[in-house]
Amino acid sequence: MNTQPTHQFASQSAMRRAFDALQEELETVLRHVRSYLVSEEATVAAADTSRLDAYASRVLRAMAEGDERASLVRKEIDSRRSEVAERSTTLGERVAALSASKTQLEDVGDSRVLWPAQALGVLGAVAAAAGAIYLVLGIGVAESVVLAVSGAVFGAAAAYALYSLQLSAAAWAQPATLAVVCSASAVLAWAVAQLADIDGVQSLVAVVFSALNSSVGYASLAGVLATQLEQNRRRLLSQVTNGLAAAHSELERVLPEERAWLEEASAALVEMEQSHHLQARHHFATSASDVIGRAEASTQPSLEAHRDVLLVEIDRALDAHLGKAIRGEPSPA
Amino acid sequence: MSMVSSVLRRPDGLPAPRALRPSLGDFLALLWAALVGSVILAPVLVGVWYFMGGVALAVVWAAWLVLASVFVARGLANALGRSIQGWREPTAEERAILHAACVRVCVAAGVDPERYTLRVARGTRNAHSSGRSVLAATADVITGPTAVGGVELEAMLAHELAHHRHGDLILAGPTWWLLLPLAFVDTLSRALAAVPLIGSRLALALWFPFRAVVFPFRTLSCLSGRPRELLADRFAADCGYARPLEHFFTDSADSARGGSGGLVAWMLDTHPGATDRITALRNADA
Repeated sequence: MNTQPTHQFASQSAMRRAFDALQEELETVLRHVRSYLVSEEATVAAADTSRLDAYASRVLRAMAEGDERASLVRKEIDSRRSEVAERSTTLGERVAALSASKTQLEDVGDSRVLWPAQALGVLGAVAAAAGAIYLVLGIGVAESVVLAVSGAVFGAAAAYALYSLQLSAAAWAQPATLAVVCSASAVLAWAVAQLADIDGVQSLVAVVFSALNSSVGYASLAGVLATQLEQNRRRLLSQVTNGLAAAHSELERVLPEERAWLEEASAALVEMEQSHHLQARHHFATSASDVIGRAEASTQPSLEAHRDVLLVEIDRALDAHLGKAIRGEPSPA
Repeated sequence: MSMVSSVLRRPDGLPAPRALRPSLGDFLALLWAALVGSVILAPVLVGVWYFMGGVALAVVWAAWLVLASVFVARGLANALGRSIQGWREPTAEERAILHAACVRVCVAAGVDPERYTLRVARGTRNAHSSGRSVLAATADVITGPTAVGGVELEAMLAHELAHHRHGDLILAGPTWWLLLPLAFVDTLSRALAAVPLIGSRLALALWFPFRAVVFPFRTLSCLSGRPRELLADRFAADCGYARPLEHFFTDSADSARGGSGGLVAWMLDTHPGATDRITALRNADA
């Protein structure tokens, strides 16, 4: 599904300019017709049927010329209509795909977003462990802190290794890793206590605190990693939601406005063409009446009859055009 | 976690932003502005210290620095953008065209169009982003005989949208605030220059240190801004507007051919040249 722009919509400005240009062209055509009729009247004295034929022929040519110019704009409107219809279909598909993504993202939401509290927690645990080691093992403060931090780092490293191996989702992975981390820390603390000749309760306290420290380090990083994923999920969810909003906005506002504008443009085009043709007919009727008025009384009835025949022909062309203009409009999308 | 990871695949047609926060250069420019502003405010701060003590000095100085952060807020940043850039509300026709183009860009970029405000910019044949949510284009590209094609207008808006997405303008408001003392010095030097006899000498005395301060800031902003312009072009290309953008740059390059201006002009130019941008777009395609 490709929603990236392949359309070549002419902007509404360009279409408006095309309309203005068409209006001007049609007016120019009518001016030429009128000036021809006037110049003919001025230069040619004869008032006969051939004169009327020449007038009618000129007017019919003007109507055809108007048809041709208007058809270019009509094609643009039709082309744009089908682009709008295609865009509507594409957007419908996009909305469906994004909605599916949104549902999936919402389903896998993770509430573990307490990384500030987790950071404080691990600091507190390290401090408590360092204090305990210092008091229990009787070694220096720096050494106690190093040991406590090492324990937490060890636990965190285990969590990261689990994440990197993508085993975190397995049901057995987290408890098993936690057990391993606690056991390893406990064994290490016991070994250090033995080396330091510390027995009994002190040794037990050192082992317990070491295990607790490592487990806090592990749990905190596991929570942070989940939080990082949660952050990524939220960022993506936000983008999908915004993408949906944009698609709906185009489907519900932009495309209907575009269709309405195209309908108006089409109606305006029909009206423009109709006006052009009626004006051309009017020019013919006026000029023909002038010619008949100047003719000899004996020839006037025949000229009038000939004029009426020519008017019928022009009206037929006009009806044919109007029929084409209406038929040329595709059914609304 | 692996189930979550499998779901966290970006849907087709939703390009990722090319950056998420302002550039290092923007941060450095902000720091430089804070330093320069502090130096210019030093006489005032010394006065505060002399009359009210060290604590008052610290509070005033800290308040001045912290106040810069309020210009990150959307309303203030947009208002500031308006006063500096001077854009106007679009007419009904301009709004219809801009809105349609903006919505289409937002569909391609995966962004909510309602978050952005559309305005008409001053000038010719250009578009810019301003504040925290303003997208503006000049009137001549929207309507009229020189209006660009629909897709080209979308391409321009996509580029400007990228600046907002990448956080390129977040620090603009705070930087403006911190540079206000410098702006005051500039106004003062112009006023001094009008003083008969000695005015020009006084203004000249201010001019050198002023330029010495402004030049590094401007260079820093421009040098860090230029890669961000290319990044914004890349984001617009990711949204599918590579060809229309290239077409716009080609037209702009054809209409704006002129002298090169040398190294300094290049250093102070906030935008890469049209040729460089076209080349970058074509390389991105390749």
